Amino acid sequence: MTSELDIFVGNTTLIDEDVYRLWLDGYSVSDAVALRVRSGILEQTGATAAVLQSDTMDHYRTFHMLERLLHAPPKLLHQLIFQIPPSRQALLIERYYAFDEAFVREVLGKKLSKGTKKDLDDISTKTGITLKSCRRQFDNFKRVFKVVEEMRGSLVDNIQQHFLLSDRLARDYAAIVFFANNRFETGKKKLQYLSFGDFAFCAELMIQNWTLGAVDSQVDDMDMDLDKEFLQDLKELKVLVADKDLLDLHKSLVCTALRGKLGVFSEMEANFKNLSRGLVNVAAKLTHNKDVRDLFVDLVEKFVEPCRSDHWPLSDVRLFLNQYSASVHSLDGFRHQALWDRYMGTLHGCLLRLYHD
Amino acid sequence: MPGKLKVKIVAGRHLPVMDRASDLTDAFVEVKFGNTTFKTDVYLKSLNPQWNSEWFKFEVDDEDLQDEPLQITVLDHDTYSANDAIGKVYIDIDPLLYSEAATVISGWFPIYDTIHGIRGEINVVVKVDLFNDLNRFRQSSCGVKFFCTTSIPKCYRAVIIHGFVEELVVNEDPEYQWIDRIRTPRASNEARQRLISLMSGELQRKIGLKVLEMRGNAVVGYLQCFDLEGESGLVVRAIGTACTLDKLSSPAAFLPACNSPSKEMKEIPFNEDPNPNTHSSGPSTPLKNQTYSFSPSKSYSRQSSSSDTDLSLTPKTGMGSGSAGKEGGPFKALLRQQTQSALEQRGGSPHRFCRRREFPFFTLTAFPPGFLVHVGGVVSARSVKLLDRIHNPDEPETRDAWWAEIRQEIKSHAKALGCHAVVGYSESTSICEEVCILSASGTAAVLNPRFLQDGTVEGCLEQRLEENLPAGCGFCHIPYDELNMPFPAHLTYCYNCRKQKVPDVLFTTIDLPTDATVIGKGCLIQARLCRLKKKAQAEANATAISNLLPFMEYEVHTQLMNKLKLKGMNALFGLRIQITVGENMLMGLASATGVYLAALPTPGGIQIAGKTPNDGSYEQHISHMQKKINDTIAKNKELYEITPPISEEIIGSPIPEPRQRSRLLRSQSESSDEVTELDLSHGKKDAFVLEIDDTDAMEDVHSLLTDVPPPSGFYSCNTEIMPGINNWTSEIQMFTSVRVIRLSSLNLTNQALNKNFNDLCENLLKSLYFKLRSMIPCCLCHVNFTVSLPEDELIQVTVTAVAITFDKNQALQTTKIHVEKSLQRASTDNEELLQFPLELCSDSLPSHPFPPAKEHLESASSNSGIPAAQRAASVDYSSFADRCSGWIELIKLKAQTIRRGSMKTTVTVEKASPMGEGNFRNRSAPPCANSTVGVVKMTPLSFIPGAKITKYLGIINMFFIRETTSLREEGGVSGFLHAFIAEVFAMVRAHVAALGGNAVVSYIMKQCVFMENPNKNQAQCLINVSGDAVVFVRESELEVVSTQQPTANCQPSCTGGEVTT
Repeated sequence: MTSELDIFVGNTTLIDEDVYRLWLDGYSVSDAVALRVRSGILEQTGATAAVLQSDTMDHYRTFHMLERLLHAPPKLLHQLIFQIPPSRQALLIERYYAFDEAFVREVLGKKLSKGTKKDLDDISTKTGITLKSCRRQFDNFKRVFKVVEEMRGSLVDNIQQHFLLSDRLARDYAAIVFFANNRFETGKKKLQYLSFGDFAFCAELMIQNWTLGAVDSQVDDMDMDLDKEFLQDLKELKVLVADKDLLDLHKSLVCTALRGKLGVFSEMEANFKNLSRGLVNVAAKLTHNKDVRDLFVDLVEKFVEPCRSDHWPLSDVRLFLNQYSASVHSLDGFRHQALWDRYMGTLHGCLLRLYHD
Repeated sequence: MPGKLKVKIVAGRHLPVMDRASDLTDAFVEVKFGNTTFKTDVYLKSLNPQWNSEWFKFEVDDEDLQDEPLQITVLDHDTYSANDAIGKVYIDIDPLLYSEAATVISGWFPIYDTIHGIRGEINVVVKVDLFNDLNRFRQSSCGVKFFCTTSIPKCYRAVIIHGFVEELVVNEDPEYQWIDRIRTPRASNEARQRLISLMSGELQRKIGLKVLEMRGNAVVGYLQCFDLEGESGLVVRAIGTACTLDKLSSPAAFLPACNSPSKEMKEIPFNEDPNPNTHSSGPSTPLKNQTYSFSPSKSYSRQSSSSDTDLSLTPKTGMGSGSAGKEGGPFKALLRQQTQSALEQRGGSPHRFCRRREFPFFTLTAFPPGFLVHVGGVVSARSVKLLDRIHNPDEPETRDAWWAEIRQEIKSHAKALGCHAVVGYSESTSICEEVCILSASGTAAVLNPRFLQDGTVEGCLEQRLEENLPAGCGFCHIPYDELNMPFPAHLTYCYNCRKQKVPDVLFTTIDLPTDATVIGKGCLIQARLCRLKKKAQAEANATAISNLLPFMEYEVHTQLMNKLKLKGMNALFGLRIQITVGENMLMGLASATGVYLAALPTPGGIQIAGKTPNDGSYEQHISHMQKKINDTIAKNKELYEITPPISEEIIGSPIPEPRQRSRLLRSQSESSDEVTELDLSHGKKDAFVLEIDDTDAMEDVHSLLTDVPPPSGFYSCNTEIMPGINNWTSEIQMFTSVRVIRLSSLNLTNQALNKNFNDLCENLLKSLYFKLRSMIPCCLCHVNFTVSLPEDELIQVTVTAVAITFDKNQALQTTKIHVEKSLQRASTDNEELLQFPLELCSDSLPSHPFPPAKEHLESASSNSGIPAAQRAASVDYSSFADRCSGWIELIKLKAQTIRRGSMKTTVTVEKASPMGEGNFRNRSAPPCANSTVGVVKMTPLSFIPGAKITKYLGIINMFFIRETTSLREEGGVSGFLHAFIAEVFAMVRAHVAALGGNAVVSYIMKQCVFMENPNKNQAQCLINVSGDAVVFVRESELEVVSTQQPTANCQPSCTGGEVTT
């Protein structure tokens, strides 16, 4: 006796959250059944393995049919085939678009192309996330990217509108899209200590201040592309380190203000020129795409690492950056105050976030 | 030209990409009705086209309006080649044809393609302007309302219940026409869908005409089925119960209008007797005297004298039961004769109704209060036919004749049970190749004739109250003559009123009357059976099937009886026995809901007896089994809370000493002459005996014990409501589950087959319990199993049911409270709930319960003289001893008529039982909120827990075909069918929503024919569903709205639940 066909269809579509998670995690039906058996569900319910198998198959089939709709969540809301209460619909969508930290760190900043997709095998092996789940997550990134690119208006709003994600998840996707679009390098070894949250934080600041959208909200891709003009202008900041007088003046202003307030004052004093050169050079180089990509590498190399090796506490970093940014306003010979603020305002936030072990 | 149909195509959405190059679609729409077609403009390059068309107007006859579906086709415009069809929507506009239902159909419909499934949605608005048609010879029957619900729909009142209406239409099946060889599967499927839609419309119109002739205005319990006879054609047939319904909100306005036309065909008994009151006193007084004269001591005397029970099939024995019985008998006969004559009279008067009226059948399973007087038991008939091509579709005489034959048989069986009517009546077929089994079954009953005649309900109410004094047991009292019983039943005095006789077990096809007193909870009981059959052709095949049928029926009933006893219960409701024929086997599946009726005696235990008692180890084995069975019975009693009130005679000894029993049994099997010594009556003191003399019997015992009870928190039943649970909360989940298993072709034996089938059903149930575990505590209601044998080694089981949650804390209720409540309800309930104004009843106490019809009295004796053949055909399943031999003799006796091209056998099964005033149908539940916008509920029940149905929008009757040539790509057979059923649900919901409704009640999946050819990567499935589209309002919302009559609305919601036991 073999089961040829075995289905269950409810007028209200039954969604088992546990099975949904197993499905999203990319387990095969038999693995999922094994995992469910291990969870002790048989003992709780008195069911048999065969029942569990049939139940799991049913749910998997349902999810498979729902997947097509989940690719365009508004469709899930308007479709007539599956009657699902709104709260369940939201749960389905949110979970489907949720991603693993380990996975996103692997692909963050990479081009969402076929090439990257081929590397998913390696990522799967490395992270222990099933290939199926990797593919789903990757495809989600790519799908969101495709939909919102060349779109007008706020990136987060667009994502929310087209994918019905929660605010939190939409912001994360905005960061992923932003990183993928600008191809920021995040995979280098020295960047490994940074979490997705760190990058997402920086992405949000950069979207707010450095993109086209920061100056003009009527452009396509306003939140995805960095403001090229702004990047060009950043070259002007070079004067801060190229002009020796200006640099000395800047240093003395900072040192005067921080004397006695900083635990690592002497180290700061000794390193000031290096740090300042580093930060200003990062800005000046951003005209080249290659250097834009290396932004985070440079920031870590030029600022985070030197400070860390001198054991600056975070509070000192904050004090220093405050003073460092503010003192520029007192440099009479420097004419690009607004530009400096737009640059340093964002960098200030990013650096503080990036500064940890 | 009595109607103008107006259609507007508004927009489309989610259309499929038809042009690969642009990833877009250039869609336009064709709107077709009859032979007229309109087109919209092409909306270029969009998957969400906005046509916003003008109103397309069709000027048509109302006959066409009823027959034809509106056909909407969405196409992709192609400049160079033929336009590609995206899909279609068929809209049945019938609901727009009667005034009280929907006024407009407007909404999003899924665009359906038989090959691709649902492909986007289309927004359509449909209206109908009807002009009044005074043509008396009209062919249409616009305005007749149809209900699938098998009871008087909520918010209506039954003025008259006219009776049985049936019709069938036949046609050639497009799939088997020559043209099918050259057309695409899509064209073929669409031709079939369209044809069935047309035939359904025609059928409904014809039935409507019959109803109009009868002066009715509605059909309740409308059941339409189609038979795919393959080469020989396509039959669409329907049965229903014609009624004159009256909307509850405006009774005064409607009554006169309805009564005046009905005058001309007024029933003869009433014409003779314009003043009912004069007659009422006559019969009713004797009844009272009679009942009170039954002294308790007398009723017990019979039980104590056990030896007088004769188990043979001759009904003359068992007369020593005392004078009371004798007195009761003639009176009963009188009553029966009177009501029967009334019926016949009615049928006889206007000759054109003759044909219809000759079958006093009712497809209802629940009744207005006072309608049911007594219940006799289940009557069924089956007939095996050889299909031949229908030569002239316009004169489907053969099929008509076949059914007429079966109905005649049912009628005579009912008569044999002393009943003049059959309620809970249904018909079905099972077809395999050219052999067809036609089945009909119902419950023989004595009805109150009042309802069948006129709007005056006083009489029945009076009678109801009278009979109702011993609450909820009247319907159990036997309707047949004790002196002349059609089969040996074991009668005892009613445990409730102690005045009338009741049988020991009661089987019925109807729902449990709401006023019945039940102890504990009910449960689903199934009997499952397979029988191998040699492959054969034509007549040989039909003969083989005919020969097997009686054995099947017999075994199914034995199983049912055993399982019922094992549950410690004494009555079955909603019994449905399905016999399915396949190439090499027959399957039998019986489902029913077991309950413990307080009025019937406590069932005895099950006694196991061995044939070779000298063998020590064997004895031990037997006693071990016995212990297991006893334990199971005890456990079940606890599980279902069966705690009948204890009185000395009930305690008795439920199971006699094993040794003694086995001795008795042996003696019986050795010589039937000794039967008289035996005490095998099934009263409280007697055990049901299972004789283990061969492996088959062992098998039986094992299968009895392998049925696992549902996990705690779960109950199941196949009736509308679960006896013993009455505090429903509002969460409902309707579902369909389908399983197909492939039998290994090796060593197919009956036993292996039985085990496979049993496992299939049990596993299916277990899966359901598991899947629905989040709803605990809940009850699976209206569990409907359907078996089919699509191929040689395939068994398909389809289950549709609804899970309803209930409040555990209020679930426990003692019988006493119950009785009180139901009594209270009976007397205090408002008219809306009861559907009959109660003021009337107090005014009219002296009116008569029985119409006189004297001229028929003389025929009483001749009628009660039941033809021997019929008596033989009825079998008492409650008595075990001699059953086998008796049965086999019966089979030998049975004449099989083999005629050219047709062959038939009939099997009748009856169970003793009475039926009381079947007040039904108050099953509103405690209020609960939480309705989401846009949600359409679906339920096989006729009500929505926690809600009140405010409007019936019309019948939903849909037929779909889905076919695929890429089975693997669609996820195999499971993926294919899963998607299809989900699509069917979606289309039903969309149609209901477009009618302005928010639920489908009495939903049923009547057919799910699945065929696969994995080698060719193909599969095809046909599904037919129906139900009533309704608008419901949550009771919580209702209370706010209707504060001006607060009691009217509150009362039903509170009491409704309790009554359900």
